[in-house]
Amino acid sequence: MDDFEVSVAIRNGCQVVSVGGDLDGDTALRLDSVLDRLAEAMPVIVDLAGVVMVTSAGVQALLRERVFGRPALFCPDGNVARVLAIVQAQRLVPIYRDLDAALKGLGATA
Amino acid sequence: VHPHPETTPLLQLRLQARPESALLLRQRLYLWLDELGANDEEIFDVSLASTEAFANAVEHPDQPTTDLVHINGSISDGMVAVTICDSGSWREHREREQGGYGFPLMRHHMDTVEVHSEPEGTTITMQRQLAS
Repeated sequence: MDDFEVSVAIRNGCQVVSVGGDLDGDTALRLDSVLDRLAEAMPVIVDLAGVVMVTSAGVQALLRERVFGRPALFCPDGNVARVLAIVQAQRLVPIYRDLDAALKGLGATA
Repeated sequence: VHPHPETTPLLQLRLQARPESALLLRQRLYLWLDELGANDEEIFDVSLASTEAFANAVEHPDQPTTDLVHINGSISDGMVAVTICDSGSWREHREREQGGYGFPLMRHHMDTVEVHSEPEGTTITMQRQLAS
């Protein structure tokens, strides 16, 4: 019934996790299972461009420490970016507004 | 245009106290708020705050007497009020408020947030003034 989606692709030496739909307490478990399967050795960026709604449970899933550390976030301006700003997510993880710039920056440090 | 009191639409929902019910809550809120003329940001804010309140109603009650959560929405002079009631008492809601992002997000997105806890149930009442 929900239209939540999560998929992984490798781009520029980064693991890009694309999320779409509503990231809430219910669907965050599906993001958890994907993030917990990722390789340790390659940078991870979560692409939030397709996310419509993010709740506190979704934020916790995004900011949780994994085997690779915490993922970087790509989030264009909008409602989701406002939520990330309110919880001061930028104190814990880098947040990019431009995916290509993020990939260049993260890939270069790999 | 000031809506006539008798025609002001109310929202009344009873949802199963399960995390997956939050999606239905947001879908119903969207339709209701859209009908009231709320803009996209207001719809997002009220939906997010209501989802957080609903998550509390699902997670916190001790020995709930029913597994239903009651949601009521009303509007008066452009002020949207949403109440979310569960049927159990919260052990330490003040303690819970200090952890996590739920209450900070509710307070940020709404003008007022009040928690009223009684042995037979807990009610969260939130208000938000619409711009239009």
